[in-house]
Amino acid sequence: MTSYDDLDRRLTAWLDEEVAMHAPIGLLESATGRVARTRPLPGWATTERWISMETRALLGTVPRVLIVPATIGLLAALTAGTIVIGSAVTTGSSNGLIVYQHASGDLWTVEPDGSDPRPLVESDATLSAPAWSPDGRSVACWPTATGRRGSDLIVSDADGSDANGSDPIVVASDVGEITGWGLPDWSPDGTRLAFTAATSVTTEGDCSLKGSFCGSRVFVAASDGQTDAVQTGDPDLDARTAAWSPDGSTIAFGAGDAAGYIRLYAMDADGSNVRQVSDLQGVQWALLRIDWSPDGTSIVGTSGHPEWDIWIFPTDGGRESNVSAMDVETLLVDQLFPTYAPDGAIAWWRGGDGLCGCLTIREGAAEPVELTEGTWAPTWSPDGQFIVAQRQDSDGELIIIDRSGAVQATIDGVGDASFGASWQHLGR
Amino acid sequence: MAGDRDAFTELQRATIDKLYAIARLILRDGDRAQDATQEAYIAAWRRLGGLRDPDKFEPWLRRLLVNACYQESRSASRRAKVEGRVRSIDIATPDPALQSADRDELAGALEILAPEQRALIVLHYHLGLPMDQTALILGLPVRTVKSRLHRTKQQMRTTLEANARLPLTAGGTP
Repeated sequence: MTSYDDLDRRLTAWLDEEVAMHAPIGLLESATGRVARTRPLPGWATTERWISMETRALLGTVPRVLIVPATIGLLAALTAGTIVIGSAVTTGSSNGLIVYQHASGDLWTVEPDGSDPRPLVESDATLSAPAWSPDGRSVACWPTATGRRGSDLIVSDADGSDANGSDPIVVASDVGEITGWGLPDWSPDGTRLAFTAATSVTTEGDCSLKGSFCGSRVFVAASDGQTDAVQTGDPDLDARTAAWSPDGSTIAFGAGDAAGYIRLYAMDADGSNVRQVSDLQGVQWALLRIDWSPDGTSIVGTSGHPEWDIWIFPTDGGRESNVSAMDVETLLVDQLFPTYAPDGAIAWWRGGDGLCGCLTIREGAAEPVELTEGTWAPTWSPDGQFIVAQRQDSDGELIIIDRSGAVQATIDGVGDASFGASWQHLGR
Repeated sequence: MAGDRDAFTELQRATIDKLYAIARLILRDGDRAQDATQEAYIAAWRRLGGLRDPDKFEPWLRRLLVNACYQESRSASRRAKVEGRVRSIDIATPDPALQSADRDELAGALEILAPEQRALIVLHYHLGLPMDQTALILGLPVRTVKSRLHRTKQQMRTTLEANARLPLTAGGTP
């Protein structure tokens, strides 16, 4: 009879015997070639800068700990008949498919309840930052093509009838490094896409000091690809993260100097009448992501320094208000990535002494409520009842939660989820 | 930028053999190990600017590799690679103390483990990393790593013992 008490020794010996001593021929060349075609992120845009390896290791069990109370809460709610999983589908509301970058680099979708993951758009390139069109019939994204200097912005037919056959339309070609939030922003009528990207223009001083959007400008592309993208707005103003107003008349953006001060600007949709919306100024993460209120009367964004808070900027020139710093404690933590729900609620990520990332929402004038830890980059469902967001301690997971914070589903096998996912509108 | 890339290429040159070896042990597949190794380097290059402590480069790179291995093992729809690949794997001289049947049994027991469990085994037993370093790379608390290692070994023992009993229940034929 064999004894297995010496398993440790046997394992070590087996692994030593089994191990490959050298990488295959060609692997180094292939790896260095792919790295050469990859753009590094600015340091401040990586989670490593803000959360140390040790902290992430400490957070390793948080999601599992959350599963139990979330499950209990969900069961209790189901028993009480207050919520139904997948209500977005059964009640005929406007939630469609969630599109995200799969680990394979293709675009995949899941149903609103997180089920049925399947490929939507496949490509030899890695498809990043997908964004559904307002009518839910197309998806725009950035393919990271091999061997090219710049990226193309493509729009793919996405009716789901053919995962492979539709040829995407190139609506902007050879675009410089994408700046800001990264997702192209569709005009409300679906005819145009706005984005910000680096140009060869550099302003005075050192770009390494000015931040990642030094020389970046606003571009607008026609979604049918009939005309190429055009640079618009102030030719001398560094800009990032363009966002259309709900009526399509205005484009808002963050602008200025990342090492100095970033302020909120707006311009008419044709690029004229560039104006500063607010004197409030921030640094680094400030206005990295901005979002218009559904009624178009305000814009939400992160601003401030040295800590970041969530600010609402009235578009009529009124005084901006801090909606996230309720007390000294919340004033001293960083708050980022705000986004409006259709009913005007705001979701964002709230740090906590650098130890946790808490998805937080504020409904109306109520105080913010922390929903779930370890989650950021929220995106609302079209009906405003759910949020899809990235698991902060995992590079490969998205979760769907409801407004009480109960986890409805986990989507794994996700590629780069840094910018969350996009949720399809139905019935428009 | 060019200087940074040259320096990074040197780092790749210095680490690629070991990184590939780890990926191959975790994934048990040479092609997938190549993919995971490349993905780890790409992730490292993209995020390098965020690394606060240069002394943490090696464990950080290994963490990225482990994550890439997880992603690779989850990927259900890998596209066939167009370019041919040369598999050149030098196997070290077998340990005479390790009998062939024993090797097969261990290979079988490892095969049925989840990639997360194999990563734990590889980091701790092949690289010889202590618990705190293993935990750092896996992104888990030390206590969790200890309990997972215990459960993993228990699972392997159960598999090995079950396999050892199989011939007897089948009639004792070799």
